[in-house]
Amino acid sequence: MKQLLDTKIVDLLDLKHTKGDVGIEIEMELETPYISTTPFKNVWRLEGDGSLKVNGVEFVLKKPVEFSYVGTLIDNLKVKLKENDMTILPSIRAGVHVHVNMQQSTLGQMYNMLGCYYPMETVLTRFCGNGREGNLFCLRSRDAAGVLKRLELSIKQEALHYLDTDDIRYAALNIRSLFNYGTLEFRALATTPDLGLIEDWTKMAQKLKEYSERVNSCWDCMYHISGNGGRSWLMEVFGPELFAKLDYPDLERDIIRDSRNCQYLNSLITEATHND
Amino acid sequence: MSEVNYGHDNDYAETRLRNTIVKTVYNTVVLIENFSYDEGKFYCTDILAKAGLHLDLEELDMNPVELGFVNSPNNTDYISRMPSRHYKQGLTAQTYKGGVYPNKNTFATASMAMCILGIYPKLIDCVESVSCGEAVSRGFSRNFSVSNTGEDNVLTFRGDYVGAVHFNSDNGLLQNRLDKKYNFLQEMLEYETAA
Repeated sequence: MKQLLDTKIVDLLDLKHTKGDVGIEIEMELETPYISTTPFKNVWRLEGDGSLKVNGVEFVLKKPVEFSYVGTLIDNLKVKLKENDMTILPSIRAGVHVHVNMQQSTLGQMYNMLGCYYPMETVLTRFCGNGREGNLFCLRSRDAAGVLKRLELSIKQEALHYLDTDDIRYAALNIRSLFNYGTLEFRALATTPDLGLIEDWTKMAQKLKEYSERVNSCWDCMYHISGNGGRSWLMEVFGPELFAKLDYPDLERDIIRDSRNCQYLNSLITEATHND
Repeated sequence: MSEVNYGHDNDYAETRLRNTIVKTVYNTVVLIENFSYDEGKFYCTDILAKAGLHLDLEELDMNPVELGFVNSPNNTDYISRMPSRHYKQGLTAQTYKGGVYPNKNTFATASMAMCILGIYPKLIDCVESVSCGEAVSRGFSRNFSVSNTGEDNVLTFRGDYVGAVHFNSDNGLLQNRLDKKYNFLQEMLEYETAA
């Protein structure tokens, strides 16, 4: 197992090398049908999306970009949408999917990032906008614990094929996309009419990845939560500015609940990654 | 209540809810059959009461139902929802997995409804049941069960061995004994047992 865990995702899954930190897909339902085909070329590709209902389109970044460019790209997209009289409708069907490039991370680092993510999953999903908690397109592990069982099996059996299935694709954090692109796909963010949360959401994914590479193991999260509380932990992960956007009165309760839900998985991850 | 809200779009809601299991605002568990245009409501079957009824969208809770151990008369099976690409908001026979039985044996049964509602037998009753051979295993909470291996009463977390359960010979009381490496589960075990 140790050898597997120390192998980079790109090599382990024999993927085509892709540069860039992050890919973004933005599903949207529009007030009127989109007609023009010219203004978004070069950066965004437009696609149809069967899961949308009212004048649905999906903007997909043609190539992954560095984290630092996301804000500018979203600002430019807002201008283009306005120029084309494209008004986004609120919809429980439309979401933003952020693909974080994990190709250069090892399998062990990927598991560690998951172990750091699950204790904060409810808090993060709550940030993602109305209609996302419990939504069938982005189920949290507390809604669909089967994803945790799959991860546990993949570690115990040392077999990644347990994760290579559409059975876990509509999770708030989709692991299946590792096998196609070498990414972890954050699916929880709602498409809001002003596209306002995308930059912050992408920064949160970046901070989470950086934090998970910094800590000794994902069990450190459990120690931190148990010793100093969830707020202190999230402050360490995200810093004061982003944390302020996540905070709410019952945050500690939700972190404890999520921590309990994933602690068995985190113990397996820690045991596997620290077993020489 | 759930954030997932279909408003008055009953047609769309039906595509996401037909043949699925959800809870209601009355803390019951129903299988949604179809939207009845005559009634302007969803026709459902109350799984525990085994009775048909018509319900408005507002009476249906769109939160994914909580799962865990489903007890049958002589065994238990830990089931969990899969975040499948299946386009259903409620639970279907295709969107959960267990380890013991095929889903057709558990879907929309009274045992499943009890699991969804979090109704479990007491630990002591489960231990007695497996000790006397009445059952192979019994879930006493969503995440914990006890099984008799012939030599010991094994404690499992979601179906995986984590310790044992014994009667203390000195005081006759029941004792959970998590293996040292699973001590971190103690708080959750106490929480679920107390609940």
